[in-house]
Amino acid sequence: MGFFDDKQEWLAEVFAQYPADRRRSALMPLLRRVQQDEGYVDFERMKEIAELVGTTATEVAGVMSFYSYYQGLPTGKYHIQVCRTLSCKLAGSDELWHTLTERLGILPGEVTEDGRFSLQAVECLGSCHTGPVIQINDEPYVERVTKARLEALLEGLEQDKPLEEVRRTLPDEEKMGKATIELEGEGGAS
Amino acid sequence: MPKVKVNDRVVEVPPGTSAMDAIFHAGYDVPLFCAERHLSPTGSCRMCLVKAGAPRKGPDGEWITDESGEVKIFWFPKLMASCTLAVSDGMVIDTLSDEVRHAQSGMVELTLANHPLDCPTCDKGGACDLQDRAYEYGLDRKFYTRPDGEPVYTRYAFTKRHVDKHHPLSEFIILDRERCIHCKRCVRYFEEIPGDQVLDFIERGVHTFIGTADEGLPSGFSGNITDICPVGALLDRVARFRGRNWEFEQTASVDPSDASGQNIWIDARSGRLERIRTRENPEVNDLWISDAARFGHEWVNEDRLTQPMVRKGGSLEPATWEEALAAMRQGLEGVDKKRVGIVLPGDATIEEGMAAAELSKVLGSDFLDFEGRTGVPASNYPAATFADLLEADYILAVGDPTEELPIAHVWIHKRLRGVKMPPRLNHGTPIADLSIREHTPPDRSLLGAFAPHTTRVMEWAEASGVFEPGHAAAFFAAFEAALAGREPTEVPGVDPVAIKRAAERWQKAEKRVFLIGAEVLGDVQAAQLAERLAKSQGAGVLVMTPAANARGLEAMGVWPTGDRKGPRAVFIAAESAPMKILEGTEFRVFHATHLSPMVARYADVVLPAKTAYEKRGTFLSAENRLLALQPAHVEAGEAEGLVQALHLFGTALGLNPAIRFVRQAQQRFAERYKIDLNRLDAYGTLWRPRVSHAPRPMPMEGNLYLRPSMWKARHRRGPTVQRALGVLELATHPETALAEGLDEGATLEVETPEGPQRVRVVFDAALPKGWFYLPAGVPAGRMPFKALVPRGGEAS
Amino acid sequence: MSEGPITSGHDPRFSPTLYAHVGKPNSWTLDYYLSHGGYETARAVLTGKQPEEVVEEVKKSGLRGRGGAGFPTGVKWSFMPNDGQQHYLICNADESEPASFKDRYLMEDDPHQLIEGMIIGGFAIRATKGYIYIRGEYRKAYDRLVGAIGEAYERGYLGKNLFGSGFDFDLYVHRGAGAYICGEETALMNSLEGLRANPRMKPPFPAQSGLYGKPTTINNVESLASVVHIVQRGADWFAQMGTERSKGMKLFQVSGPAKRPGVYELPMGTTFRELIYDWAGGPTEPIKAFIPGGSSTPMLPFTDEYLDLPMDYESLVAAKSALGTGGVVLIPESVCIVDSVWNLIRFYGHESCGKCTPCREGVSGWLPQLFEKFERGQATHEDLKTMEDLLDQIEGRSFCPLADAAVWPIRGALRHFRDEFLHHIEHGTCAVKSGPRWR
Ligand SMILES: Cc1cc2nc3c(=O)[nH]c(=O)nc-3n(C[C@H](O)[C@H](O)[C@H](O)COP(=O)(O)O)c2cc1C
Ligand code: SF4
Ligand code: FES
Repeated sequence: MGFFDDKQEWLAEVFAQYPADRRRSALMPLLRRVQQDEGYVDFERMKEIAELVGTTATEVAGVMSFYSYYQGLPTGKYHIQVCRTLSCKLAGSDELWHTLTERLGILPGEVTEDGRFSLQAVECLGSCHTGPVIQINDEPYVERVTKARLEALLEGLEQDKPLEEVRRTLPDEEKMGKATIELEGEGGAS
Repeated sequence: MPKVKVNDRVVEVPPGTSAMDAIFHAGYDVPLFCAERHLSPTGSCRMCLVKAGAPRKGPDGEWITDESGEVKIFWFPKLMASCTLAVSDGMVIDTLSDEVRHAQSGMVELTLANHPLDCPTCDKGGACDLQDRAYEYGLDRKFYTRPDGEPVYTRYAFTKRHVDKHHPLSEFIILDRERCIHCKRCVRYFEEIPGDQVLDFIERGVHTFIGTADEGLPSGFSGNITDICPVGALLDRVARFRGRNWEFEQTASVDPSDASGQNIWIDARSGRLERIRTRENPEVNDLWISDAARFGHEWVNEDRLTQPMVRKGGSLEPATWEEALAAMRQGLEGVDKKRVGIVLPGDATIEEGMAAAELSKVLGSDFLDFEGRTGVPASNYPAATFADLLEADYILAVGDPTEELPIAHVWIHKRLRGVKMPPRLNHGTPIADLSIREHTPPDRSLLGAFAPHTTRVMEWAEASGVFEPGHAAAFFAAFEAALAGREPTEVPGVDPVAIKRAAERWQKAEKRVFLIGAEVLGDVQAAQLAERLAKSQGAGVLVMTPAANARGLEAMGVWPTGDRKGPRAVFIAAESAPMKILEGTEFRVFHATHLSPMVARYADVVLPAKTAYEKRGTFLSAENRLLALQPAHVEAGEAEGLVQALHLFGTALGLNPAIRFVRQAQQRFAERYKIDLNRLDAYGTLWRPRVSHAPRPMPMEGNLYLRPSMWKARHRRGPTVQRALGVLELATHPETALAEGLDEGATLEVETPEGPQRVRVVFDAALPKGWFYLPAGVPAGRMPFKALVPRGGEAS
Repeated sequence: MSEGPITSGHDPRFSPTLYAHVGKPNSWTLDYYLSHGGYETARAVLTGKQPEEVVEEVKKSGLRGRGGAGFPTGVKWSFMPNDGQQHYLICNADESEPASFKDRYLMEDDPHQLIEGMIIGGFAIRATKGYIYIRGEYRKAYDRLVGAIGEAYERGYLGKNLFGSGFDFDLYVHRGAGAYICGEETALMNSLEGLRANPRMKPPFPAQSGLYGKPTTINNVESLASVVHIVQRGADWFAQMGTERSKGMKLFQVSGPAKRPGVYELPMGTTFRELIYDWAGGPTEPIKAFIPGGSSTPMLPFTDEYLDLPMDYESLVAAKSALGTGGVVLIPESVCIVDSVWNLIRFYGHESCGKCTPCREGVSGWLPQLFEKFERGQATHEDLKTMEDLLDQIEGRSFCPLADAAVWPIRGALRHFRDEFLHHIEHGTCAVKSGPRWR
């Protein structure tokens, strides 16, 4: 069965966002959906998407490989993306990255044996003031990833607790939320 | 028109011209890699940087002047890529200053940074744009001297990018990813010219490479990327490692596989035909030729007949030309001259057609025919040119342009993308035509496409439909009804809405072009309806004849008349001939390039023939354009041309035919039509001969439909073509297959005009039930489906 | 300080506008927005003004695009033809320039402000359809935007015949997928059309032939949000803030070792000193350099001369840098400049689209390798010369400005911290030894 066979309604919604003769615009949303649900986009899915948007598998491969988010190889249940650009680097993302590769025993492109984790170094996530920052799958960021917070995060995920819950219960999370409010009178968000 | 000053010369060029074309028009040079005639400019290689400036008008509408009262030039703050810069009136372009040369040499350095230095083993060597520019810009000075005293000419001291060096994209094309300089010509080509998006950039940044996810580059026009690749990244696998560019003898000729008249270069080396390349003809094929025209030449070098053969005691034995003449004399003795037939190949030249017609006249014979002849002569239709397609407000294709007249496919796509005929500049076609845009979707409202099977152009057609084979006449009847405002009559398989839509567009259009294929031409009734439609409504027609020179041969009077009983003796220069002739004649002379099973079985005398690549002569293409063939030097022993062979045949009959050499035919042609075939216009001469022949119905029955294909039987004798095309696909509706006990994927043999062929069954529920479709070369037609040795069952 | 232009966040006449609601509970809901006067400006515009009037007002305000290039927004709008074709308004929410994160909170905490800005912008350029191209990683902002658009449709603030004015406006969100180049406006349009995001040739400019070949305007999130307030309070209100040619307020960002890194809304012309010390609480460790306006802007030494520069387009150009997106990064003494710039070059190399030779071979291929050689301590004086030659060979010669954006940080570093490069050559090591930075 095709991936999209049982998603006709969703497909219709996506296509409705673009002019009727521009189905190709739906290429990215369709790729994202497969990536989200299956952790990567394999060749069969590329062909399926090509068919749906009216182009060739070659074109889909060309577009897909252009972006960092879509993966051609399977990823773990938690795909951890670590920002490595300057501001996060200044906050220690290099060491965070090394810790992660050692702690999990994997390099980019690999998945831990239990299928739980995979790793990717990514470029600036747009949260430079709260570095180092990581993003897991397509979820909101985990910011100010200190050693303690990283440990708590991994522990939570190893127990397969819901990500949102793990995020909420990370050490110091409360305090950070407050910091934003305190500053708001001065016109700042941090 | 804007006046532009290039260095010291002022030229006038049409508005919208690129600075690059202005530079060339002025007679100066500028380096380039990514710009390419007929493709959208992208400005990506940055090689063509120049310094440019333009005057400006003040608020008073007058040119702003400088202190000395001269019109002031405002220089662009950066160097500009001349391929993407449009000229404006008064523009000043500098291509010679140190600043410009230095920037260009910097770009050569960057381009070469990751380019391998394997020119000695590269097929493009000697014909490589990058090699030329590297020579021009490189090594002019050292960058610095190392502490040990060594001068440094190459600063990129890192390991070059190592990626796939021998990556077969298809059986025909090999990609060297290290050599690719990312000009994107090939990717743009596929999208913009044939409209097949089968090649794209993958990844990004320095990791970008070209690749495909559509196995085997499914396109009938893939080979052109090997011509336009400015380096040796994309190479013709059929011709790989067959010679250095400077070793080839290059002959300008015309492709003989279909009626489009594609201009080619034939590259031969040491008596072998090694490579076919495109030859630019902006009015016929631009820079493009079909894959069949490019890769379908391997058969020429294989197992050629190099001397005459004579049947002795049941078997064919090698003989001298004298012995062959004697054998013909003997075999033809006492034969009624009126019953001597001649069958020409579909790619016989005008000169050969004339020689045959003259001989036939002297013989008083009615039986003069050519392979791939249609039921109704192509000459009955007013010819359109390819350029007319660009002007057309509506195009109606009944047949399969992609396979039957491949270059028409390219022109149709051009029209739908809104591309105009380019202006002519001093250097010919503009190299960076700014009016061509990347990613222009085809305008579907301009095309209607109907055929007895699904065709490639149907994807671009607003109105389309598949009618059952044998129902072309019904289609035209319905179309006529729709034009007259009546409800269209029924056509099995076609939605009347589509017919109405097409008729509506047709009616509204002022300039119409009409393409008709073999299915229509084989059916006298359909062909006559089509003719009436074209003439009463005023439309130019591109007749997609199976024979390359159908119009030319018809004009020379090659057309069977009268006697239907058939000849007693026959001269056959065709690759295949109807059974009726083979079986019904007593003496058969073959003029053949190869000892095919048919020749081996039926010939009494075989004369070794030249292929169309080895001929001097003229074609009259589908556009009614006279195009000259030139002989390439291919070693084929004692092979002779058709004119000479016919002359000998006439001599054997005791005649003294007037035409013995091609030159004599050309003289006669010049006397008769006032056209010197040796002095045709650069892009061919349009000629509208007056021809009238009565239709000759063709046997068209049976449920095996021989779908036209650009690949002819002889092409398939080449090993690469054979590998590329694989086993022929026999397409059929699943129900029809199951009724015959055939499973999807089953391999079996079916009887075809070329003898039994191995085929593989594929299901296609979109096809009408009761039919089998098999791609075939000449002639497209129908015959009863006969499966031999079914090996059914095993799916592969 | 109550006369003359407002150029300090301390000026009593100044109060945050764009970020007024950022950080407030439920600020992203329609009810919250309506209770603070939301959509009243759009209503007034659609029912009482002509498109030309809006364009005029925005022109008069002096608003310059906040996406980095600083092109006057009103002027850009005036390029749109009045031709009855389908027009598009695209909001550039790709925000991928390192050190920029201002647009994110505008979308997370005040999505309706952006929607209202787009309605007004759409009206002004006669576009009945809008797209927000948001970078793929901004999941929270995406959720909030989609939620807000849903609410707006439900209550008639989007869709057909808005406020009974006869003007229709549809708004969609399109997510990116991790490619910085998609922030370049023509690459963005290609991305939105489902193509590889290579930049397109200009001309034709988007206003002639943009998305789907139709006239299109592309504006940054902050630019569009600013429009709401300009139209509401008048061009003069906006123009009294800032300097001669850089008007209004702007969102500035501080990252790196500061006490309170974050986003600060301040009048144009505010000094770096005020931003860094008064608002961001000052550095937490000794600083030697700062990047003034996002990663592509050449870095400046952390000295009084530069700290007292007013943050406006002209002053920074005069200092051989740029205001860019207003993203300030503090670079501490203990960090190697060569290493820091390498990080950025690697970023640009990774993000190069690969279309043009200088960027693909130079920015993406050669420069990062040269830097690596410096880092390894194997570089020579010739390598430094080669690097400088390469910068000349790349700058101003690429297809789009991405390659320039990669060149500038190196230029800045070489201008002010050449000694650190020389140290690498002569000693094979960094001039500074930085300890672990992760806590
Ligand atoms: C490489 C590159 C990246 C860019 N990234 C962004 C971006 O992330 N966000 C943005 O608003 N503008 C970005 N821009 C600027 C846009 O091309 C465009 O000028 C801007 O969106 C116009 O909006 P404005 O006039 O409101 O500033 C980028 C430009 C370039 C050349
Ligand atoms: S500078 Fe060239 S390669 Fe780099 S992003 Fe722009 S077009 Fe692409
Ligand atoms: S940029 Fe390649 S030829 Fe002009």
